Amino acid sequence: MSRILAVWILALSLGIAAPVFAATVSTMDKDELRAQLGAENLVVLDVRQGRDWSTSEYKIQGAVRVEGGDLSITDGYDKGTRLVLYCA
Amino acid sequence: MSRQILVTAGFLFPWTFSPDALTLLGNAIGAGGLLFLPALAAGALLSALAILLLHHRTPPEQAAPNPYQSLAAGLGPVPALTLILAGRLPVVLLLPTGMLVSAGFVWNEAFFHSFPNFAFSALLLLLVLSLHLAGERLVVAGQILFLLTTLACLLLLTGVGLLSGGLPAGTVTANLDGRLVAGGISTALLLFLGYGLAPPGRAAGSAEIVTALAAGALLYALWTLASLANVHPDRLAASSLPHLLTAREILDQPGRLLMAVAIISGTGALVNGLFFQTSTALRQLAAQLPRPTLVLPVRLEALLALFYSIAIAAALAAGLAGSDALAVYIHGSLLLWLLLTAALCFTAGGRLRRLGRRLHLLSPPLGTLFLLAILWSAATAAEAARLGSFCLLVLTTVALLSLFLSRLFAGRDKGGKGHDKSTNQHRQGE
Repeated sequence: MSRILAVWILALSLGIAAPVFAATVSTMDKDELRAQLGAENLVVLDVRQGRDWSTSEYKIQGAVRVEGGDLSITDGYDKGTRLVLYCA
Repeated sequence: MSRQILVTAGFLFPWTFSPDALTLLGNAIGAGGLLFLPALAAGALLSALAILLLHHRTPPEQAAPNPYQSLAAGLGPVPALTLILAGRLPVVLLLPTGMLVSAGFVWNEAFFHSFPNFAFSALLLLLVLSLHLAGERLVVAGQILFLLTTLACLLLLTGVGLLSGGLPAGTVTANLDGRLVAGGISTALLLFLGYGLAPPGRAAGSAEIVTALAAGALLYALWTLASLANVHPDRLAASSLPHLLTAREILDQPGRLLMAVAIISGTGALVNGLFFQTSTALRQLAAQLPRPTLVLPVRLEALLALFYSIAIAAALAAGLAGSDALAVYIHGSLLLWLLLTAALCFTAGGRLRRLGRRLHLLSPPLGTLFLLAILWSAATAAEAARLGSFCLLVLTTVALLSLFLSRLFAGRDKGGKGHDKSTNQHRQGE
């Protein structure tokens, strides 16, 4: 029983600590994005791969799916285009 | 439904009501329309015949030999070991890796946005590991709970879907195509995988296993009708979550939440059931080894569950679920599982022929059909080359491992320890 308890405590600790390790990158919340959706110079790139994409219900309408993590697709956009990478 | 049928269904068909199986089913419904129903019936019938072959009791009061004994008698120990390891290990490691992520996403998106999906996947894995560390009684209780929850959600959605939907879309005449039928049958054969072993407790006879299979096939058929009555087949075929789409169309937000519960409990059932199935298969293998190698400080099942969990957690942490390759690996794992089942059908035929049972006549055509289904499924896959490479790599690796283990233990056995008496034991799952 103590072994099971120890396993649970370890897992909970890891779960709580996980966000601390997340890198700080420039982000945009969903309301901010929603307000800009449809803008001419905005392109949403759905960079989720595998299950991250296939098992998520949330797929942004009009988003361009980047398969295989190949970001060379961005070469085709004007420099003034605002690219939003949707990764999670 | 008696408890034994529930246990049988829960442990032999944990994959059948898992999220990935529901996706496979939904896409097949979308591709075939109503034509998928006869393909489903054919797949269920072939699986039922395989159950009759594999679980035929000879004499009636005893169960059939376990898979290793059956394969070793027909093919020799190294091929037997190879087929069992190739048919079991990728399934127990890769399917949970994928589906725990599915469950994590569903939890995060349907119930608790601020709770990380990865943390939920880890907690669900830990819950199953805890059951296996605690012992078989809790494993069985957990499996019944997972199964009943999944079935209750699916039955409710199916009932409402049938009552509220219109006429099913997708007519047989419009979609009549031999390729669709072949694809539908091979998909159905994959969906019903799991009957190669016996469930825990007293050895189940073929009648109980066939009953569990028939109940599952009936629910699948009703779900097919409910899906086609509420969603256009093209949308089902194109969706990566056709079951969730159907649930939403049937009951809107409550339907979505019901399906989310079914996905989470179905994942729990899958991981718990596969851990049990694989540990049973490996314990049967371990029983063939000389006794001194089996002295362990803890139960073998607990140790194996810990091993699976660590491997799955490592795969999750390494981001395997975020790779497109995982879908191919899961497909390959299912094909190797079907290959194991085909081999069991062939070797069961030999045993029944020696015993003078006419049932053995089923063995060659059934095993051949299973092999054809594997070839069809592999050849028509989107990434056939990668799929073939994966299967060959797994088979080659486990063949070398099997050869090594076989030599190792054959050498140790020269000391006169002899094989475990369970080589003559005829009760599966013991």
